Amino acid sequence: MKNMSQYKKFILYFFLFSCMAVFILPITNIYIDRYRVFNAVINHKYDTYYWRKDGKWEFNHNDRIIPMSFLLNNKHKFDSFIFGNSKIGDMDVRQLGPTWYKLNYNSANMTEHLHNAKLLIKNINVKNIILTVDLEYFYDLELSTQYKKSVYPSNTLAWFYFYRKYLFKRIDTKDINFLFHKDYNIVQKTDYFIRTKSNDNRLFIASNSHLKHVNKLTGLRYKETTFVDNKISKTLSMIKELKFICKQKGINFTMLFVPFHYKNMLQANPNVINHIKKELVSIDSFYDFTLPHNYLVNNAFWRETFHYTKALNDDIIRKLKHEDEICPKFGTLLTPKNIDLKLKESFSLYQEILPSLLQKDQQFFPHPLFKKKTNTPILSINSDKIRKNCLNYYLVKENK
Amino acid sequence: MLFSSFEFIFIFLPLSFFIYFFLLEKRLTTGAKGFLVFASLFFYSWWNIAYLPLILSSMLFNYVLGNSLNENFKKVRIHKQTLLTFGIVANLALLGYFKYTDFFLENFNLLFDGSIPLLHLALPLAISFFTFQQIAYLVDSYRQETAEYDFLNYSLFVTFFPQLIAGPIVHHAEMMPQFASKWNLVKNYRNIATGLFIFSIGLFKKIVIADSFATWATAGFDHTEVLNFIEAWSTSLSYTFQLYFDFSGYTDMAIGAALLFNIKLPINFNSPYKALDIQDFWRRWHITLSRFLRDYIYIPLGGNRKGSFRTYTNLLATFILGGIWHGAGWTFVFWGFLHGMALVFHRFWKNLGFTMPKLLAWFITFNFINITWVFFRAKEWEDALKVLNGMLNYNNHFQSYEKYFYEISFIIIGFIIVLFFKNAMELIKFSPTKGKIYFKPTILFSIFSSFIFVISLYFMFTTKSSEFLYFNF
Repeated sequence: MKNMSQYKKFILYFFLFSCMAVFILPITNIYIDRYRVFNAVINHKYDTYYWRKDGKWEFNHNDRIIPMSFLLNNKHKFDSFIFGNSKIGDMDVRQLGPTWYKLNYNSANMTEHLHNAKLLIKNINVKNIILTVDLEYFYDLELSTQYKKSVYPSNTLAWFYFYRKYLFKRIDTKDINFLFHKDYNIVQKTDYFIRTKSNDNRLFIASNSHLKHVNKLTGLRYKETTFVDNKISKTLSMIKELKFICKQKGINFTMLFVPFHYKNMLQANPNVINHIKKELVSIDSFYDFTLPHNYLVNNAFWRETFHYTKALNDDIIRKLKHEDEICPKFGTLLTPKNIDLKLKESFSLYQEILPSLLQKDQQFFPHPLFKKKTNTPILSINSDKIRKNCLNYYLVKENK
Repeated sequence: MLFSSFEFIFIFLPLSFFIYFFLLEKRLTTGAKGFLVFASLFFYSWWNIAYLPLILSSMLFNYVLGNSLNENFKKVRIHKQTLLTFGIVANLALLGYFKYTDFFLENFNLLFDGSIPLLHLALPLAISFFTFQQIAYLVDSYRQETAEYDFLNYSLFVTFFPQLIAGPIVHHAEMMPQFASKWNLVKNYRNIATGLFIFSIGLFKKIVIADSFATWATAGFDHTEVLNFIEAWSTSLSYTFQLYFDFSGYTDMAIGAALLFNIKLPINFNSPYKALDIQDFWRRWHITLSRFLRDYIYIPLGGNRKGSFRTYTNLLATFILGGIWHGAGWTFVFWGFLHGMALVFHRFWKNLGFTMPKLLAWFITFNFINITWVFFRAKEWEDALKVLNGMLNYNNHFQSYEKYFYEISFIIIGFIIVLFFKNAMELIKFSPTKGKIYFKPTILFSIFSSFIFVISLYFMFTTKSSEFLYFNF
């Protein structure tokens, strides 16, 4: 009997010690909270990010969960949302109104947008939704499993996985460095609208280093094999679902196709892009900012071939507000009636300017469907004067 | 369902344990055993329910046939040897169909320049194990060495989840009495404590040690064309340790889980890398397979009773068959051949009365095992030869030892554990001859087991554990 009690004690201690030890890791993870998923609500650390001591910026916080957590805890603060990816990072949505909120995160996709939109509509009295559509959405559909990219949990099971994932994350050297601020300075921003410094020239006009970067890039983002039919149709059906939900709930739904640098635009198969646009227009009319325009062929407005400067985002806002753009004719409302004509025009315009573009950049490989036709100068789309005006406008504004 | 999965550790195992003993407390013995069979089949079906009918029909077929072969079953008039042959052929045909069809077709196509399409059949989980277990049962029934078992106990013998998937290959004579024993129908705290202790050790071996070695072993075998001297050795040694910690970890978990139900599974590993010769190695490595090969292949072939030459050929044949049992591929055959040849050479050496210093004996044995595992692991001949080439070519360029700091450190730790630490069975003082455990539960053991259990859980939370290697055999 004495022996038996020893065995019972062993079992008791085994479970007792195990339970105690199991809780050490979650407590440490909550304390360090490298991804700011536990303290997001309490401290409103929306824009907590890290400047490494070597001067480089490192993205560490979870930029999906933090804003959603903030919004769901401030349900009456915002009723209008613009969904997008890193391209609209510089967009100042306050220009649209005080109740607008920009819900963008890097490498976003439609699955995430639909997930977040559903959650917001369920919990908040949403009035307006603007969906910025990017070509990336049509081949990247998966929800990320990365710590800094996991989405806000939407049900009990998802919450269970959320806690399992973040509470029991293995502590690594980076966590220890964060704990002691060894390699990182933690910067907390209270302004959750603008992420970058307001006096940053790069917001409006690309810096010399950016220009070098743009010139170096050959725009290899969209290959012939990038787009697959079933992924395109899945994304379209998600957009359709979002539009349907908005219609049901009486929410104003606006859609726009974000601008593309000509290298990316002309590299992609135009038939695929046109197919996507035609399908989109069958869901709803949308603003297309990919049609040939000076902004898209002038490297001065691009940080690299993917991210554009704030000048474009500002003009997008103006377009949405039906105000005059700084650079006119930027963005066209595509409707079922005009889409064929506009796409045809766009295609021929690109065909026309292609030789000049090729002359400018030898390391640029357009899709074979854009056959060389004439040698029309690039600036035939917009006059040289307008271009200069645009540049001057921002340079003057920035100098002020 | 993996032993090292959350659903097994936190749901399946505790639920099965509590329901089983709850039913026993209510004196529903048949119900409790029936529940355990059901739970085991559920455990099996978790992987792929499509193969459930396969194991059920195999079980029923062998039970009926085994009873027919048993002397007590008077009504059957068919010649017993015919029945046994039929039973063995049927079992081997089932195993052969799933495991060897593609291998046979590939070689047929190669030899006769044919183009018969391969079947690409998925290997049903545990088929190699339950087939061998049941062949042993049929042979023993033929030899009148089995009692008249009831179907429920027989089903439990075949399906009992701790040993179902990857062994140990249990013998009916050691399992049936345990299932029938009334002493095993009540909760036994000694067994529970010991079971938790061994299970924790097994989990740690698998999740923390084997899966860490797996990273380097997989990386090395997947990039055989670019391995330098250090990488080739760290690849082969990583696999040598991965295989041991993976399989022995699995076995420890199986023994631990079975102990919770008062069932003692046989020992399968006894510090094999401490072996001083190849015969010693096979007495320590996958002991239950060695036992099967000895009792049902080597001895029936004549064993050592028919002269030296026949002994050597019997040894070689047994190990080539052992190689084929592990997998349908020429690399497995060659691995078996190498081990068979080593045993022949060892026996010859011993007969001549030669000896060698212990350290040298260990060094030769370990390196032979390490090198032969390369054939065991490699997907193709070329891969094996490239790894071996890297291991032999010291002049192969490598940048610095610093780059391999973690691999080398882990391998050193691996050596320390396998050579200087007691194994799980030694820690619980298990006496295989008496079938008794003399485990002394101290607070230190309690802290130690809960510590390694929690560390394993942390690893499970953060990384996806790989399947056990022997699931593929």
